[in-house]
Amino acid sequence: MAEYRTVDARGLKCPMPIVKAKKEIDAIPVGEVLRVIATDPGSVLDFQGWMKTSTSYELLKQEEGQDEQGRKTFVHLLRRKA
Amino acid sequence: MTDLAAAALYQRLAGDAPPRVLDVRNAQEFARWRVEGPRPVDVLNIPYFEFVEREEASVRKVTDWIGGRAGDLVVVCAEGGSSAYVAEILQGRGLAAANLAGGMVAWGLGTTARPVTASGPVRLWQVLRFGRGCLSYVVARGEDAIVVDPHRGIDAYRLLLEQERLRLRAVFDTHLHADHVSGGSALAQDAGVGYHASPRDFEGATVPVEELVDARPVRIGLLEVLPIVPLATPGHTPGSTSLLVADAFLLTGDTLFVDDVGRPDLGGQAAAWARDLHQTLHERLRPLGDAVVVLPAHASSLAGSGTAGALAGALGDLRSRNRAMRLDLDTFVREAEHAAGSTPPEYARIRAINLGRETAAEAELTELELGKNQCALSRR
Repeated sequence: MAEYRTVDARGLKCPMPIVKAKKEIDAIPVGEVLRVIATDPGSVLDFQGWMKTSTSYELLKQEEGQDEQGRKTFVHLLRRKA
Repeated sequence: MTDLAAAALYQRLAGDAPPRVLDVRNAQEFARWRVEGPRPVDVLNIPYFEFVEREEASVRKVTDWIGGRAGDLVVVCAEGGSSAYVAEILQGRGLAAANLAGGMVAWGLGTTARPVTASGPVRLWQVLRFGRGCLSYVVARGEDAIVVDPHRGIDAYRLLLEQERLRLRAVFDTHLHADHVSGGSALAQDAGVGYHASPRDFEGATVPVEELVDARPVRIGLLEVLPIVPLATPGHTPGSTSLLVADAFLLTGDTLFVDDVGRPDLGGQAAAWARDLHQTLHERLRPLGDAVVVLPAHASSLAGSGTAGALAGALGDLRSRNRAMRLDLDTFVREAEHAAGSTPPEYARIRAINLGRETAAEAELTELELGKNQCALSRR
């Protein structure tokens, strides 16, 4: 996990998690994975929807967790395909 | 950036030049619940992440939709952040786009109040929570007022009372609500007045409740001159109690709506409660004259809910036009059993909150109340 480039979008409301992730994913090399950690529950469906808008990306995984402050987190693993 | 409050958007949708609505939530949220008005709303769904990914093409979709037509645009999302983002993009392209402040969360709490009676000794306002189709009431005589079936956005009632220089004397709930969190107990405690409700529905409640008794007029100080007679009208819930105000207005809660009746299946005993409801509609209400004005707690349609006129009907009109009121007992019970659906899972939690047995934070309250009400028998 630790080797992935990570966008920390905790505490941010939409559209910011996707706006920040979009900037990052276009900056990583093709084939690499971006990890986005968010606290907005709405991000789950929104990341699914966003990944479907482009053939350049792929949604690998979405996971729920908890951060060190006890906040519920939603982790999205995205891959840049092209 | 032009921000538009929920109530202002509703007023504009009721007016002569209603704006178009661009909803930028994801497709699932859009399908579940959207902005509706007294007339059909011209609405388009383009999720905000499409603007993030393909700004040019998304803006073109919007301009194609508008075509050459006049009128402006209101952008809507869940909480107001993404819609502000999209509205800014559109404004940058020269389009007149306003943002619904607070998004669907604010829309779900927004209200508008219309007078039911403009004159006479008893004054009555209908408070429409337009995003959810919930109705509540302020009834006044002189300076004294009561509130019936308030939702949790109790500032709306405080504001109306203040504007009309009214003093709150009592709060009522016609039944234990399951589809929305009541503001009844909070409003009553805040003003130091009694919260009146059916002991049958509020058995086990930890909020203080003054018990409504069938046919016993409620006397609250100076309101002795404004008779409020509770009528036990079971069916939607066992304790459902309609309030007859000044022999002229019947606040029916979820028992009887203008075009429909309340669901009798939410307690898992559709046939038994449907029998109760049928008896309520035909035996319990029989003594009431056709001129009595029925004021329900839900609107099945917002049509006619513009700036003037309340959503109400004369009992006589409902007796002849409301289909559910014309069915014989066997047909009524059979249809209720057939229509019986699952109880939305959040209803148990909402009931517990309304009884004071459980509490929830604001974010959960918003989540629990998402979407339109599902209280009417035939419109689900």
